[in-house]
Amino acid sequence: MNLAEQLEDARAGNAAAQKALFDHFADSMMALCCRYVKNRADAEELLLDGFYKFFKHLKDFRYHGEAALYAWIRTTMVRECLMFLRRQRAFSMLTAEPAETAADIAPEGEPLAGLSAAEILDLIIRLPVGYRTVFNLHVIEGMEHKEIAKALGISEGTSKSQLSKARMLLQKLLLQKGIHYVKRKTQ
Amino acid sequence: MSNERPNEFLPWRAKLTGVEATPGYGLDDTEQSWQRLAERLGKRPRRRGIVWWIAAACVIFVFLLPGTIFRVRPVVHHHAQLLPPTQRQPVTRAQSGPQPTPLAGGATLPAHDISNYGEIAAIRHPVKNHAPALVQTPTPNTGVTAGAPDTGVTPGAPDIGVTAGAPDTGVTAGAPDIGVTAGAPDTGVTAVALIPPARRQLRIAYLNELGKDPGPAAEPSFRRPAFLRLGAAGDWTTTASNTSTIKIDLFPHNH
Repeated sequence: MNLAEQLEDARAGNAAAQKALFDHFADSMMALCCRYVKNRADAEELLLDGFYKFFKHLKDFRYHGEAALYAWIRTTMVRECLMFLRRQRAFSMLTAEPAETAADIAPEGEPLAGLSAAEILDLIIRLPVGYRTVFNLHVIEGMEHKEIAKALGISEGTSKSQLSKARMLLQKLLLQKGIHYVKRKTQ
Repeated sequence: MSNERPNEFLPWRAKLTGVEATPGYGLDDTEQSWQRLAERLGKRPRRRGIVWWIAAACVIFVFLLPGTIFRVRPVVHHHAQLLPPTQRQPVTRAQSGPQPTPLAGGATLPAHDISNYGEIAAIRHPVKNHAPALVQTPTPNTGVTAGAPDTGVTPGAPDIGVTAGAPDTGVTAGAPDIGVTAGAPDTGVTAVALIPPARRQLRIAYLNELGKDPGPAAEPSFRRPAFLRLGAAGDWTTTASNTSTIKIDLFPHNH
């Protein structure tokens, strides 16, 4: 049974089809939730909330391929995580203070591309919640600062500031891992 | 800003957005998690709509019930009630129509020619500030009646055609300068259609009646205007000409 048929059966309320979809996406979505929420129990709860809404609103979804389905589930999960963080008032104390140092450095060679997903996740979840959320939304999800500001209820300047601080902290963490940075060449 | 520079972390996007699982970050027990999710999916959805409808009904009930029970009725000021019942001399036309009043000698005073005020003197000098007041009373006393339209215009005296203001409110005094004025008896002033009131009855109380003790009600035969004469046929004629102005003095010394 392909994904489209599973989706159709799940839409009809078929529990087996729903379970198949859950099994297919659960682990990757759990990793997504862990990128936003450090606590695994909270992340799992958000995962279940997200899948619950996904199945409840499945009738509104038109299948155009696995990528579209995956993007839709991702969006649902990210929204659940942001709602959770907003309920926790995780962004209430964020300010638009500029970063101490402009990270005008670049990694030597392509060391970041050599990191595994697990290593990247280990680095990301060590960031404070504000840095981590903005970094996730901007770098991983590809959102603009304007969209991030609207989603988190912060200013655009705060979003940029948080991203800058996140990058600076990640550079430090990477240096600790032995990845060397060099001064970025001026253009 | 510095963070607008090329982001060296962008290659991470491709690594973290794949469908494949990230080792160490998957579910500990997928089956158990699915069971929890299946329980939630199997539950009947909460009927929030019904709850809202019940709440709305309760709110409506709470607001409407007191309004129905403790409904404030429009306040009608019964000025006539300020007087003791013995002082009330209603001039009210019965709703059922004019009721002739027997006079001495077998004559009958037409109902519309009756005033309960007593004799009304025809005087030549102007009298001011003696306008009749229309007083609404819920229970008129017995006796003489006069027109009692719902419009508030009530003739106090017969053919002279008393003109009063036409207030819609209960108690209204006519214009002070007008008093009770008629150009001539027959020409009259008021041609107001007297529509029997549906539920209310009006009476005329003259201003100088208010707060004074007029004593016992006079016989209807003595309560006619002085400028009227009782004809042989029992009908009334007037001594006033067509051009004379009749003003009514309501002070007791004219009685």
